[in-house]
Amino acid sequence: MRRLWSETQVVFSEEVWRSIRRKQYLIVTFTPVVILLVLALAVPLVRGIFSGDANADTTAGGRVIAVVNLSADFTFARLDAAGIKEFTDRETGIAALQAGDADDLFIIPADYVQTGRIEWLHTDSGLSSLIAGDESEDRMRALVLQALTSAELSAERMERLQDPLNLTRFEVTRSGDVVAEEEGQILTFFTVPFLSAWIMIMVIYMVSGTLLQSVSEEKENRVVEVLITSVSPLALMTGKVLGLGATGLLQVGIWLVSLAVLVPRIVSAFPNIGDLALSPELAAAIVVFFLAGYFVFAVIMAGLSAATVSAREASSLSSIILLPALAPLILASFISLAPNGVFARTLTYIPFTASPTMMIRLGVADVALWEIALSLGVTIASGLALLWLSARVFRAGILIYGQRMSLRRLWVAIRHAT
Amino acid sequence: MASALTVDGVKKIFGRNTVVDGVSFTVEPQEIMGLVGPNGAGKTTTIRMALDIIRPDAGSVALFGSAPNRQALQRVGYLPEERGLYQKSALSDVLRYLGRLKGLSAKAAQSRSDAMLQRVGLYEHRAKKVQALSRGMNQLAQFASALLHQPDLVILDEPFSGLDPLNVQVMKEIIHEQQQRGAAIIFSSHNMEDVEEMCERVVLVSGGNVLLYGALDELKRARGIQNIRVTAPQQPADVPGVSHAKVEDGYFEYLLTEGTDPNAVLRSFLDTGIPVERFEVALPSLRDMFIEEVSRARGA
Repeated sequence: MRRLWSETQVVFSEEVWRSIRRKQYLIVTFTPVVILLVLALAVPLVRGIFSGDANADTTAGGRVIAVVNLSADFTFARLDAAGIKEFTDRETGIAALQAGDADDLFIIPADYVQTGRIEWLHTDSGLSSLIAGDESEDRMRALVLQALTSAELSAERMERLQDPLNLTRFEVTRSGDVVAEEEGQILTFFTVPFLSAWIMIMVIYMVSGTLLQSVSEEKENRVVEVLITSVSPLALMTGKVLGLGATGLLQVGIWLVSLAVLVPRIVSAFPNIGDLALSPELAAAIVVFFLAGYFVFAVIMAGLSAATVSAREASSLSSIILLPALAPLILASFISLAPNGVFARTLTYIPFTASPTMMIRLGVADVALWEIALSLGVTIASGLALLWLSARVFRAGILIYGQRMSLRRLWVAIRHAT
Repeated sequence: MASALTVDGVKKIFGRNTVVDGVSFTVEPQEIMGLVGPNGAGKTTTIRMALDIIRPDAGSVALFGSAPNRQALQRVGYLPEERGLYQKSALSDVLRYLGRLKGLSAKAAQSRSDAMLQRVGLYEHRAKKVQALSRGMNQLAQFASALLHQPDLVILDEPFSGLDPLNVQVMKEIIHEQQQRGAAIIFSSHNMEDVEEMCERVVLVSGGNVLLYGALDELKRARGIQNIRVTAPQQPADVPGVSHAKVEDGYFEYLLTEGTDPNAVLRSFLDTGIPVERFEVALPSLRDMFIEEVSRARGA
């Protein structure tokens, strides 16, 4: 066991060292960082030029805005001309929203001038509210600034001009309930689970490609025959899977650090988005499922690369094998609609779909702890079983040069490899 | 002291094809054993069984007195016939990695790698990528990699193929150095002259069976005097008891059938009035024995 571990360590460090010095790896790793850097510099600049101010056109845009003004010392002028509807009370305004007569409803409370607080109600949910809301906010800001400056400027009004909008967002559901949006909910809801699942698939694809290339190269240049007289096939395969996985994770780590440093700067130009709010439990679960999902596919890829003739053949086969991992992402909207439904739960217990499905479910719903444990258990147990099988295929397959590996031949080779 | 390698009646069957059928031999420390045979004889399969890459269906293999295990395999250096290195890596990095896989520390692997590269004349090329090296350099580098960890058993499968005479000479010197260090060496080659020059003992395998096995000198003597070389302007129309005749520039070489008296050949020249300048009797070459034994086995 100690020897196996020491052999694995040597292979691991060699794979990491060799991979991170490849030009291709460096380009793929640092190009997104450069793009983010450019965005971080450019977006606030561009946003500043095009964002709303006191002179903004209040009639622009296709969304219908409505206001309910409950403040006695604050009046809007020429709302009709600006294409903005006005309702006398909150209920009428909400009814108009539900009827589709308005897209956004801004309720100005009685103490607006003192607090700057305005309620913003809409019927959109998720990303559509995020995208569309930006424009409505600009229009509202221009309107409020116009109203504040239309009367004599008291000290209180002067102060309000500095900070005219203290918006609180509410979603009006189909049933008429008014639900407050938690800060950061939109970003967390839409981004984190999907992004994590996508990143996992991306890492699996990238690392699988490198893994296939690595094993195929060793087969094609015959160095493998020397390798397996020096280390056990299990150590060789495990070292490769872990080493190349580590380089993939290092890559993702660099991207995440860049995102953490640079995205707030980009996002600050879009105040509606809110802050990224990710609970530590959700973050931990995502990391664990990420690693488990990677492990399952990486060991399959190692076995596959040993059992195929060339990197090209292995690559085309790997695309088919990786399809199940993509399925939950393609079907993400179904899973999100019924995260605890039979379909989503079933995918959670299939080793090839478990990780991405669970990531999506965890992002949109409360999942029972036993379900999380069972899903993780199934994935890890399958990974270990596949590791055992792949090691045998690996040992048998790496000695078969230039021959197509039929199932029968594979079976014979596995038997002879024992 | 235990034999470096004992192969005892190993048999390997792939599908319906018996590739190795009861091969037995031993390799002792500090000896160079020639493993020869035609293509497809089962040499590589035998070597793979010796290295525990594949397991025999029958018979057994012992490395340094025990069944092959990872500890024993760390004492083996192997240069396979089908060989290669990591093409996109620096030569020095590749050797260091292979040394580490054989249990050397990073520091020891580096220093041994430098020393071996110097010995084979590739030290100046250590920073180059393997793909930038010539075929011969590649082969020398792989040869060096097989010896990095100072193995007690060195298995060389066609080590000289594709090398120029100068590099062959370097390799031969290093092989002898390894032998003097105490290593047992298995030398597999199709070039019988090289085997004859390098090896004290040989095992000839064909069709998965051992045809000849033992000390080369003894094998030759046991076969008796069979080769005759006659330097004469011409040869008689009928030379008695000859199984194979070869006409060279200025002399004739005859392989005699078993029991033929060499003097009968000389008499056939003299009786027909052909003057004989020189008459030599010689032990058979390994090449002759190889051809004869393999032809006989195939004929049977």
